[in-house]
Amino acid sequence: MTKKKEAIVVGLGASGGIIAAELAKAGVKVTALEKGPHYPEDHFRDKQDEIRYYTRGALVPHLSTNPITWRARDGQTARLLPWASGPLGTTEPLHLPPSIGTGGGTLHWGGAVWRHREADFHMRSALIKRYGAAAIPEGTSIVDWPFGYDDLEPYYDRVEWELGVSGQAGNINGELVAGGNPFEAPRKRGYPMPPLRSAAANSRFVEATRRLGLHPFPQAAAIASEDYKSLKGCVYCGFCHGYPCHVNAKQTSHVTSVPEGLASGNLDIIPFARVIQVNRDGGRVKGVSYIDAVGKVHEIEADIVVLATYSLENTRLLLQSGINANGQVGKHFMTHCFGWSTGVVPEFTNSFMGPLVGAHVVDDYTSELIPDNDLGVVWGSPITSFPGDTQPIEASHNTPPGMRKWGSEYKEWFASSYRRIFSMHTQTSSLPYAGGYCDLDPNIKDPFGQPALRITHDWMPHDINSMKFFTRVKQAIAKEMGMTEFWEEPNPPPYHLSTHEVGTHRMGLDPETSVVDPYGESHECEKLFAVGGGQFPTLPSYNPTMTIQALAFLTADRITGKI
Amino acid sequence: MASRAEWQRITRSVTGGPENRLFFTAHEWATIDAATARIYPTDETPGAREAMAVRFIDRYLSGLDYIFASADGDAFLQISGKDRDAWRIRIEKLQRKYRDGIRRLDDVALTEFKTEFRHLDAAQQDRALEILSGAPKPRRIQVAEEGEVHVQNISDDDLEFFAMLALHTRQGTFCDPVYGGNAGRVGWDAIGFPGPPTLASTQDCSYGHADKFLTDFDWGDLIPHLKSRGR
Ligand SMILES: Cc1cc2nc3c(=O)[nH]c(=O)nc-3n(C[C@H](O)[C@H](O)[C@H](O)COP(=O)(O)OP(=O)(O)OC[C@H]3O[C@@H](n4cnc5c(N)ncnc54)[C@H](O)[C@@H]3O)c2cc1C
Ligand code: SF4
Repeated sequence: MTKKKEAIVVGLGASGGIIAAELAKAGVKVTALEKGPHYPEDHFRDKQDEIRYYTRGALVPHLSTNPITWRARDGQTARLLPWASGPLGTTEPLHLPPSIGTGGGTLHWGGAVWRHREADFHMRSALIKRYGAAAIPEGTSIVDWPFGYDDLEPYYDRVEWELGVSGQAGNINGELVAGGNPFEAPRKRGYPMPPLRSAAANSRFVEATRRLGLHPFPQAAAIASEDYKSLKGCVYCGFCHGYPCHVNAKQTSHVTSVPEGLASGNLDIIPFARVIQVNRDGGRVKGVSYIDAVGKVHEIEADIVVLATYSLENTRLLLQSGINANGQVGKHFMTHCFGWSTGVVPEFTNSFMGPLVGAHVVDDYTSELIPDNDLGVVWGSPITSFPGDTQPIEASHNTPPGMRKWGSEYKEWFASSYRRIFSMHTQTSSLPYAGGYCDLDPNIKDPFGQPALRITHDWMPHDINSMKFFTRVKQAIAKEMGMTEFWEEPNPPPYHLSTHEVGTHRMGLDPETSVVDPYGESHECEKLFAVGGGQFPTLPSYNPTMTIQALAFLTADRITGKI
Repeated sequence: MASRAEWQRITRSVTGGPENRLFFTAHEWATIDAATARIYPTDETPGAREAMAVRFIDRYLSGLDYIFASADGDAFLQISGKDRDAWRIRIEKLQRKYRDGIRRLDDVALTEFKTEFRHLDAAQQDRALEILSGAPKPRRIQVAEEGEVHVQNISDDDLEFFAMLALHTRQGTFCDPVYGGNAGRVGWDAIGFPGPPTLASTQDCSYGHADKFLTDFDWGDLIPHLKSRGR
C-alpha cells in the first residue's frame, strides 16, 4: 500500500488533462493514472501516414482489450460493436471511443468547438414554451440543465483564451459582429486568434448558402491559426481529424495542460495504469484500484478522486464499483447522428488540404431555431461544410450509390473525382429515452476479467426524421452549389457511437434523479467526481468538447476552493 | 514492457518483386497480382499492378513486422505487449482468409473456364471476380435519387474475402510507399494527391499547404499534369 495521495485523476484526456494541471498548479499533489502511454513531446513527428493512424488505428483503444458491446433493444444479445468488430476492432476513428494516452481524445480530434446556445441549457422549458407540454416525446427524459449559459460563459472564455481557439465572433455583449454567427449567444469578447483559412471550394458553399438566404460563418476551431502560447500555427497539412498534429497546432491537453502540470512539480503521471474500481469508505471516496503494465493490481488511497475516462468508461467504472444507489448511472444515453454527405463539384477542391474545421457553418436551423416542419422535428442541427482533410484511402472507399468499388469505371471515377470531393455534415442529437442506456455486459469480459460496457440504443423516429429534414436542406445546398453528384450515409446510420456519447452520469441538483452535482461531484460518494460528457443532461447538436473543457475548469475551481 | 510510445525500430525491406515474397507462394502472388490488376486496372495511367499492391498485401500478411512504418524508410516499429497479441490474432485470421479465398477464386475459375484464375484473360477474370463477389454490377443513380448508400467506416476485420481484397488493393495503391505499395507514387500521381516527398521528410514538420492559402492561387496549377489532361 502506497502513501495516501491528495488527489487522483483518472484519465488525462480533454477533461482530466485540464483538472490534473489546474490542481497541480494550485499546489495540490496529483497522481494521474492513464490507461494509455505518456507520449514524449516529439512522438508524433512521423505522422502523414494514412495506414498507421486511419487504417490500422495506432492511437485508438482496441476492442479486444477494451471491449464495448451494443444491441438495439432489450432482450437481444449484445455483441462487440458490429461496425468496428474483429480482434482489433479498428475502424474509422469516429466510431470507437477516442484515442488513449496523455491527451486522450484531444490527440486526434477534429477541433470543432462550440459554446452551447442559451436554449441548449433549457431544452425542456424551450420545447414546452413553443409547442406545449405534449411536445415532449413520450418515453424521453428531457430536462433543463442545472445552470444556464451565463453561468458557463466565463469558463467558455477561459477555454478560448487559456487553451487557444481560432474563430470569428458574431455577438459581443449583444452587438452583432459582421462575419460571425448572427445566432450565437452573446460573448464578453472575441476569440484570441482569427479563424482558420478555409480550403478552395469552400467559397462555393458560402456563396450558395447565402443565395439560399442562410448565414454562413467560419467554424470556430481548437486549432491555432497563428502561433499562440504553446501552440504553433497550423500548416494545413490535410492529415488532421483522426491524426495527432505534428506541429502542435491542434489544441490537446497533451500540449496545453499536461506540461504545465508537470512543470509545477506536483503532478505525477503513471502511464499504462488501467483503473478497474473506485474504492469507498461508506459515503466517502477512499481511492482506486488499478492494473499496471505488467498486470499487477495496485490499490491507492486519496482524499479526492476524479474520474475523467470518457463518458462510457466513467459509467462502467461507477457501475462496476457499485456506486449506483438511485439506479440513474448509465441511463439517458445520447449520441449524434453525423449525416455524412459527400458531393463532387465541377472545379478542383483539392480536398487533401487543410484541417476538417477549415470550414463554414450554417446555424439557421440549429436547436431551437428549427422552423415548424411536417416531419415533427423539434430540435435542429448546424450544417457544416467539410472542404478538406480527406486522404486518398479514406476517399477511395466513399463512392456514390450504384458505384462498384472496383474495375475501370471505378478507377476512372476516382481519378477524376478525388480532387473535386466536397462534403457536408450535420449533427442531429438523439433524445434521452428509457430504451437507450448503458449497463455491464453479463457475457463479455476484457482480458483483465472486467465486464464490458453494454450499450442498448436504437435510432428513434425523431432521429430518423431529423436526418430526413436535414437531407432536404443539404440537397438544396448541393444543388445550389452545382454539385454533379451527391450522396449520404444511410438513415438510420449503422453506428451507435460517434465519440459524442453523453448523459450517462447526468448532473443535476436532485440526488434522486441525477448522479453528480453541477461540479461533477457524486451525490452518493463524497469527494468522488465524474466529469465529461456523461454530465450532460441533454445533448445539444454542437460538438461537446468545449463544454466538457469548460466544465473541467469549473470542477477544478470547485476542488481548489475558488468557488 | 516497451509501450506504444517506445516501440523499437527494426529494419525490414519492402523492395523487390515476386522473388522477395514473404507470405505468398509463387502461385498465390501471381493470383493476387492478377486480381488486384482487375480491381484497379491499368489504362492510360498505372494501376494496382504498377503500384505493387500485391507486395503491400504480402508484407502486411507476413507477420507482425510490417504493421506501422517508421519514417526512416525501410524501418518499422516492433509492436509489443497486448497490442502484439491482438495483432497476431488479426493477422492469423487474415492469412487464413487469403489462403482460403485464393483457393475459392481458382475453384470459380476452374468451374467456369477450366483454367486457374491467373491464366484467364481480362474479361474472364472480371467474370470470375464478379462471381466471387456475389454481387452483380449496381445501377448508377442520379443526384438526389434514393439508392444503396455507402457506409463510412471500413475495417478489414469482418469483411468477405473479395471485399477485403478490394479494400487492401485500394490501400496498397494509395498508401505511403514505405509500406511496399504505391510504388513510385503511381497511385497518388494518377489521382492528383501530392503527398509528402518521403515519409521521412515529414519529420522536419515541413509538409503542409499553408503557402497555398497565402495568395490567390489557381488550384488547377497545383497538379499541372492533370490540368493538361483536362481532368
Ligand atoms: C476522430 C475524432 C474527432 C473528434 N472531433 C471532435 C471535434 O471536432 N469537436 C469536439 O468537440 N469533439 C470531437 N471529438 C470528441 C472528443 O475527442 C471527446 O469529446 C473528448 O475527448 C472527451 O473528453 P473526455 O475528457 O471525456 O475523455 P477523453 O478525452 O477520451 O479522455 C479519456 C482518457 O481516459 C483514459 N482512460 C480511459 N479508461 C481508463 C481507465 N480505466 N483507467 C485509466 N485511464 C483511462 C483514456 O486513455 C483517455 O486518455 C472527436 C473524437 C474523435 C475520436
Ligand atoms: S491540418 Fe493543421 S492542425 Fe491539422 S494536423 Fe495538419 S497542421 Fe495540425
